[in-house]
Amino acid sequence: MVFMQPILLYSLLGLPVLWYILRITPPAPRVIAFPPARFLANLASEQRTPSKSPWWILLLRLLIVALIVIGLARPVVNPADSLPGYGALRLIVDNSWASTSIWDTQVSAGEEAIVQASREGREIYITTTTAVLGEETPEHLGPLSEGDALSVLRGLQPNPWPADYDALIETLKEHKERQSFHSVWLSHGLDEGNIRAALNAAQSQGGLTYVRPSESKTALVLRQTRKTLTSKNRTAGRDIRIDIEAARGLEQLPPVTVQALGEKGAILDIQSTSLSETPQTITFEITDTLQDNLTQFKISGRYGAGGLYLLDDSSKKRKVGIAASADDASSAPLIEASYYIKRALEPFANISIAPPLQLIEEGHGVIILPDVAAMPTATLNALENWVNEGGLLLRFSGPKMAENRTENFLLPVALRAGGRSLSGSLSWDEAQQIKPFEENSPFYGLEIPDDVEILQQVLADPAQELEGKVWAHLTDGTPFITASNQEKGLLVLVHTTANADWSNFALSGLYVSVLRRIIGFSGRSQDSANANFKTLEPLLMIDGFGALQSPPATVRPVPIEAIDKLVPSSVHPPGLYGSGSYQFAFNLGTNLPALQLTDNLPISIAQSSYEKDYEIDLMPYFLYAAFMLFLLDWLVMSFVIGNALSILQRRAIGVFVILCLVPVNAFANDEADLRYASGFYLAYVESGDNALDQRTRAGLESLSKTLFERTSVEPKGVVGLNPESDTLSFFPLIYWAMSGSQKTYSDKAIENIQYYLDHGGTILFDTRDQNRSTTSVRNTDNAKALRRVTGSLNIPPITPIPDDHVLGRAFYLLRDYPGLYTAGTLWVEKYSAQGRDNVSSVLIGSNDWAGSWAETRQQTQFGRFGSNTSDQQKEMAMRFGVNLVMYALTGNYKADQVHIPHILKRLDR
Amino acid sequence: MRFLPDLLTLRSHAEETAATLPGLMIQAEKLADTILHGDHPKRKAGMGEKFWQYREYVTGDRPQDIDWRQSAKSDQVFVKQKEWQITRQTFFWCARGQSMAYRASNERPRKADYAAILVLALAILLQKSKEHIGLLSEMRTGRSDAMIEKIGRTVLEQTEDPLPNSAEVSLPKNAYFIGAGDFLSPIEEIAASFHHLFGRTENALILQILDPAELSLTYDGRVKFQTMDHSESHVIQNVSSVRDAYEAKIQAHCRAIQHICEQQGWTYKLCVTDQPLHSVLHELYAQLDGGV
Repeated sequence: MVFMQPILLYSLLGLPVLWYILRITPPAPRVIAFPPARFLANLASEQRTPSKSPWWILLLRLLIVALIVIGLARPVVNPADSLPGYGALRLIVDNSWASTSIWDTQVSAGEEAIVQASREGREIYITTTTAVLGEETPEHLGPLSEGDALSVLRGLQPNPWPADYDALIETLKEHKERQSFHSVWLSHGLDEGNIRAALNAAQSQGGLTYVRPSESKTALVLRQTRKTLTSKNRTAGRDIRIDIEAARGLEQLPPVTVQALGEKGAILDIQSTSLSETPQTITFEITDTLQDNLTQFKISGRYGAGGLYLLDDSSKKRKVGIAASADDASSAPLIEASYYIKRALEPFANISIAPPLQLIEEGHGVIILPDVAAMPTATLNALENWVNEGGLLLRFSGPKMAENRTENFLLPVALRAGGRSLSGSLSWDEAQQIKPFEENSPFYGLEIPDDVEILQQVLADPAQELEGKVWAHLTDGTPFITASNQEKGLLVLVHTTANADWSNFALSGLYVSVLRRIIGFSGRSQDSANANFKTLEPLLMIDGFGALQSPPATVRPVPIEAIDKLVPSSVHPPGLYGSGSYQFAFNLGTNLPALQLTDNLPISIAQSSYEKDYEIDLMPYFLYAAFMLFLLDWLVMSFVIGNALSILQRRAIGVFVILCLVPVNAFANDEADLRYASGFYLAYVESGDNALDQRTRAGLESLSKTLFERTSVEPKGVVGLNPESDTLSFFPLIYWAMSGSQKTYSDKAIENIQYYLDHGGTILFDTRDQNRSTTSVRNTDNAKALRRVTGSLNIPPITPIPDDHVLGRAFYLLRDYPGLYTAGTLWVEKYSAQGRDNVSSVLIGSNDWAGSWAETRQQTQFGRFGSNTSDQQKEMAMRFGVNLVMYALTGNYKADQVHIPHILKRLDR
Repeated sequence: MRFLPDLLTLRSHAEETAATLPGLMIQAEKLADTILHGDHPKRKAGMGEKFWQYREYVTGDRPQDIDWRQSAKSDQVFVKQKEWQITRQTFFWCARGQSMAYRASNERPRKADYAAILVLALAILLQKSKEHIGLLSEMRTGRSDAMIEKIGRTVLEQTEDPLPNSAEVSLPKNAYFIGAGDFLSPIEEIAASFHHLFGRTENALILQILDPAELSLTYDGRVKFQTMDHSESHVIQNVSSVRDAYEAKIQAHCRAIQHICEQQGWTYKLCVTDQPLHSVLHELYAQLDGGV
C-alpha cells in the first residue's frame, strides 16, 4: 500500500492533541435563557456527570479522524509504477494480429500509463506497430492530452496482419520533434521480424520499457501445410488436419479448442487439446458429405485472425473419377497414367477409378480420361450428356489418341492425326518447354520448373477459334493445354500424356498445381472462359478479432502470381479473394514465418509484464469506514449517553437502522404479483446457471429496449422466474434457455408449467446448440435437458415452422428466424388449439436468440466468443424477437392478413 | 447577548414595543368591558354629589347647606347631606425587565405582555369608575384617558428594575397600590422593597406573573440555564433529575412573597401565563371591589 499524498499523514501527529481536547471538553450543553436560573444554583452540582467522555468513545472518534486522514492521503494498493524515464511518454502499441488475445490487457495497461503520464504532466504520444487498413505507415499521434490519448487508445484495433517494424522505425525517426521520448512498448510478446532494430530505434530516442504478456497468453496461429495434408497415416478421405502453432520456446502452452465450422457457422466438429508440442496437428474426422460444407477452422476464444483458418474451394475434396477399365489399371500399376493422376490429386480430391459409366452414375464432378481413344457408343453418349449437364472432362493424350485420327469426340480442339515427336532420335526439333502462362490463363502465376521438357505432343488443327481455347503453350507456340465449353460443361485436353511416357511434366510439381487448378473449375465450368486470372479481388476480409467483414474499397486486388507467397499486410488483409468463380483463401497463417518469442533483449531495455495487479484506490473504502463509524458514534451518543435527542429523532434513527438491516427481498409476494399484473414484463425461466441467466436477462432487456423503440409494446422490465414458486400466469411469453445443468422440477412445478401452457401461455424453449439436437449429429446436454423438462409435460404435437406461419409476419416479414446461429429449425405446435388464438403454446428452437439479443447491445460484456454473427444477422434476430412478442400478444391478428391473397382471389370470383 | 443600556437602543426598543400599545389597549379595554363598573360610595354622609340624607340643623352647620325646600315642609330646619364620596388614588407599577420578556413557548404570551394587559385592564376599569389612577414612579394621578395612555406607554417601556423603587416614593395615605412583576429577585430584596410601602398603604395588590415553565421546569437533557442578563448561569446535566427540587424551591419562594404580603394585609395573587386573562381579571376585580 502506498500513499499518493503522504504529506497529509503528518496531520496524524495532531491526534494526541485531539485526544486531549476531546477528553477535557464535554460536548456543549444547550443554552437556555431562563429567568429563574438563580433557583438552579445549588441544584446544579447535585448530579454531575463526568466531564470526561468514556475512553472508547474517544477512541472511536480518533479512529474516525484517523481514517479520514488516511483516506485523504489516497492509499493505493499495487500502485502503478511511476513511469520510468523523463520527457514525453510514447506508447508503442503492438496492434498486429498477435495482439488480439491480450488486447484488453494492452489497452488497460496503456490507459494506466496515460493516466500516470498525465499525472506527472508529461506529454503523450501514441505509435502503433501496424498501419491501418489501406495505409502503409503506422500511426503516430501526439502530443495528446489525457482525454485525447485515452480515446485514441480505445479507438485502436488489432489488425489481422503482422507488424511492420521497418515502417515503424521510419516513423520513429521521422518524429523526432522532442529531444527525449520515453517509450513504453505494449507488446504481444512475439518477435515479428527484426524487432531488435525497432527496439533500438525506440531506445535511442530516450528510454524503452518493453511490456510483455505471460507466456500462456501469447498468440496462436492455425495453418495447414502441405506436409500436414499429405502425412502418412491418413485414412481414406475421412479426416482433415490442421496445425496449431505457438511460439517456439514457450513453456506453458494453453489448452485450446478448435472448431470446424460449416456454412452459417454450424459446428461440424470440435477438438480439444492441450498443446504439447508446436506445431501440433489436430485431426478432425468429418465425413465426406460434411467436408463439402466445411468453411473454416477456428480456435475458440479470442485468438483473432491467427485463430481463424478459412478454407477455399481448392481445399474442398472434389470427387474425381479416373476412367479406366479394371484390367488396364492392374497391368502395370506404377507406370499407369491413372496412378500418376491419383498420386497427384489424392490430397485434394476423392479419387475413384472405375469405368466411365459407373463414374457418371456415382455423380462425379470431374472425370479424367487418360489417353482413351475409343469407347462404346452408349458410354460416349452418356459421357457427352454428362458434360453437357456441367461435367468437367479432363483428357490426356497419348499414343492411342494420336493414332486414332477418325474420331474427334469430346475434344476442345480438333486434332491432327499423329503425334509430334520432339528431340527424339528421329527428330530435329529440340525438346520443348512450357511457355510462361499468359495473363488470361487459369494457370497464370504458377512457376514453371526449368527442367520440364515435353518430348511428344498431339497437335491441334490450326483453326481460327483455336487461340481462344489455349490455356497453355509450349515455347514454340503450339498449344499445350486447351479447353473449351460444351454447353454447361467444360472439356480440357492436355496435349501430352498423364504419365511420364511423353514428357517429364507428370513428374514435376507443376503437374499437381495444374491439375488442382483444372479440377477447381469443377461445377462452374461456365464462368471459366471469361474470368480474369491476373488479379484476385477481395471478397471477404478477416478483421483483427477474427470476424469476417466485407472489405472496404481500399483493399487492393492481389496479383495472382504473388498470392502464394504473400504475407498479409495493411494493403492486403487476409480473407477470401477471388476472381469470377475462383476463390482463394488468403489466410494469415499460411506464409507467416515461424512464431518467435521476443527474447534476449539487451539489458538496457527495461522489461515489465502486464500481469501485475491493477491499482486499487482505497480512499473510498477508508472514507466509507469513517462514515460508518461516525454513524455508530451517533447511535451510541443518542442511545447510550444523551437524552438530548427527542423521541422523534430516536424514532428516525430506529427507522434508519431498520432500513439498513432489512433485506430488500423482504417484500411480500403479493406486491410482486400486483406489479407484474399491472404491466407487461418479459419473463425467462431461471436455469440455475448464473452466467446463462445473466445472458438471458441481458438479451431480454435488449429486446425490451428494441420493443420500446420500435413498437407500441413497452415492456416494463424483465423477470426471472422459478416455476417452483412463482406464478407464471402474468407473463404472455416465457423464454426458457436450456442448459445442461437444468435441474429437474418437482411435480408441483410441472403442474404449474402445464397449467400455464394450457391456459394461454407461450414458452419458447431454446436449446442454444444450433440445431445439433434436431439433426441429431449429437445429443447435446441442452437437448437432453429439454427432454427432461418436457418429458413430463403434456405438449401437443409439433412441426417445423411452416413458411406462411404468422410468426413470420407478426411485425416484420421474416423468412427465417436466426439467432446467434442460423441453422436451427424452429418448431411450433402442429394443430393450434382453439381458444388460444392460434398461438402455439410451445416454440422450440436452437438458435440462441437471447445470446444474439444480448450481443446486440452489450458487445463488450458478452464478447464475441464463439460467434461471428454479422450485424445483419443480429438485426434479424432482433426482428424475430419483436415478431415473437407480437405473436404472443396479438395471436392470429396478422394471420388473417396471411390469407388476404386467397380472400381477394375468392372475391374476384 | 448582553443588553447594552444605551439611550438610543433603549428608546428604539421602547418605541418598537410602544407600537404594540394600541393592540394591548384594545385587549385591555375588551377585558375591562367584561366587568360592570360603578362608584365607590362610602355609605355615609360626606363630600359627594349624591343625596344621602336630611337631618335637623344643628348649630355649626353652614347656612348654605340648609335645604330650604325641605325645611319649608315642616317646622324644622333641615340640612341636606350628600353622601360622602371620596376619590381613591391607585398607583400602578409593572415590571418590564428582561426577565419579563421570557416565554417558554411561542403559544403563550410573554410575561411582560401578560402583565401589561392585566395592569392596563385594571387601570381602565378604575378610570371608568372615576377613580384616580397614576404611576408609582410619577406620584401624580388623574382620571382622564390621557392617563391610561401614559400608563400604557410606561408599562411598555424597558426598565431594568425588577422591583418597585419604593424608596423614593411617598404614597398618599391609603392610596391603592397595584404591582405586577415576576418577583424572582432574592426574597430579601423583595421584602426590603415592599417594606418601604408597608407604612404607606394597607391596600395593595401584588401580582406575580410567571410562565408555567418557570414553575415546573419543562426542559430535558443537559442544559445550561442562564439568567436573561447573563449574570448567572448553571449547567444541569440532567434536567429531569432536578425538576422536583426546583419546583419545591420556586414554590417556597412564591409562598414567601405571599407571606410577606399577607402579613401586611396585602393581596397576593400568582398569575400563570397559561391562565385565561379574563378569568384572572374578574377575580382581581372582585377582590379590588371588596377591598375598597
